Amino acid sequence: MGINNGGPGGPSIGKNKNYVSYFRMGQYITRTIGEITSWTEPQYENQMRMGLTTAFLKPVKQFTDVGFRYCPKPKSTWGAYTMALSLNRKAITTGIYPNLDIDFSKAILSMGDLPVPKNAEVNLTDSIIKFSWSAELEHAKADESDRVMCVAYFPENGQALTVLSGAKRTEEEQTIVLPSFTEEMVIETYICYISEDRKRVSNSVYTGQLHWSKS
Amino acid sequence: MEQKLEIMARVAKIGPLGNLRGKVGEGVASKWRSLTVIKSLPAKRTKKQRKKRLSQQLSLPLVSGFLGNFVHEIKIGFHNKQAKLPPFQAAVKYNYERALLGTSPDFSIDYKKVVFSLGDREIAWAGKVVAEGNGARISWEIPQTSKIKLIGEDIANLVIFNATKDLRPGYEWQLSTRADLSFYIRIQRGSWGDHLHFWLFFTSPDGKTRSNSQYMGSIGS
Repeated sequence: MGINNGGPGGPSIGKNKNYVSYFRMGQYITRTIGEITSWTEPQYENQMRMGLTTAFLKPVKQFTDVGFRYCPKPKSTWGAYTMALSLNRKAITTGIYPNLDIDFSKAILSMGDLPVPKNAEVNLTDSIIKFSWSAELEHAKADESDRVMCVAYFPENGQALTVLSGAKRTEEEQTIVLPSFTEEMVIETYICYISEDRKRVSNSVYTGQLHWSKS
Repeated sequence: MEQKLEIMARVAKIGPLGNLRGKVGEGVASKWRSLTVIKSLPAKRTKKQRKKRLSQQLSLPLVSGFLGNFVHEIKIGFHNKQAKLPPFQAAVKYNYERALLGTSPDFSIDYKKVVFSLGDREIAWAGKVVAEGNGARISWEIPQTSKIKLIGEDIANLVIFNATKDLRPGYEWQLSTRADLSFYIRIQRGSWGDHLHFWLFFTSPDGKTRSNSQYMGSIGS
């Protein structure tokens, strides 16, 4: 007895009329090729949701790559970015098509079994963002060597500042110095823990919206 | 949707009389991308033109004419191997949808929203332009969170537009990297005192990735 993946003649690779078959990430794939020129209403809605989500996730990609690296995924073909996209597309887009919007408070930037930062807060003084939290070392999974990861996302220009290896859990304070902006800025902030071996993370916590203005 | 060009003939070799252009009997010879092609003459229009089409005939040359000054920069900034459109057409499409102001027939360009480059690399944070002598000093910042060793060698790409005379001014400058944090540019006599707009974007040393372009500001009036 033998296992014959892809039928008795073996898997097919190559182009046949408007079908193309190839090997990708441990799977044999066959799909049609050709240009699609019209879409249905639900397809347009999905495209808009996808567009809003990718615009948010692209600048924080290096953060989500760490945040979702070791979290369980439904398929072996899924990477960290696919996982982040899948979760956030459902979580952050709100409203009814075509008036869709992003709810930043529901974004998920990391997923894991460490306890989330307790009493996490942010303050903005003189264009310095200060993250603070309480160490909470009594928790069974909390370790002194855990570090924090922080994000400051700017919806105005679609860019983000990320700290991937910040202060230790016991320091209870992490700062991000902002560049000298000239126009008013809205800042969305997130924080999470990461273990010393960078294999375990906590869920990310939305620490709130900040407003920077010239004064 | 991309329109396909109906070609009647392709000129294989350019003859001794040079490049073929213009009407020849029933056909018209022109250049399309890198080819010299002969197309059949279009039929004469019999229906009245619609308003929407007329407004596009006014606005599209405004955008493509403006961007035509910066073909070299756009070839770098909008370079994308997987995209269906070539860089310049992609730039016109992107800016036509975002940077066009007003309604027909009074169109203008929103210089703050014009984009010359799209990419994942870090932008020029907090960009500034200050007039200095016969030129300008352009400066930017590198945030504390950035990895300066990874992005410090990035090459600065500058775009300048003279809004008073509606042209690209002549200028001299030294090639700068992101780690320099600022550079001085000397503008040629023809554009002294005119209203100049500045944009900046960075490309990686190997030229493979680029940042979004940022509007740095304007000098003069």
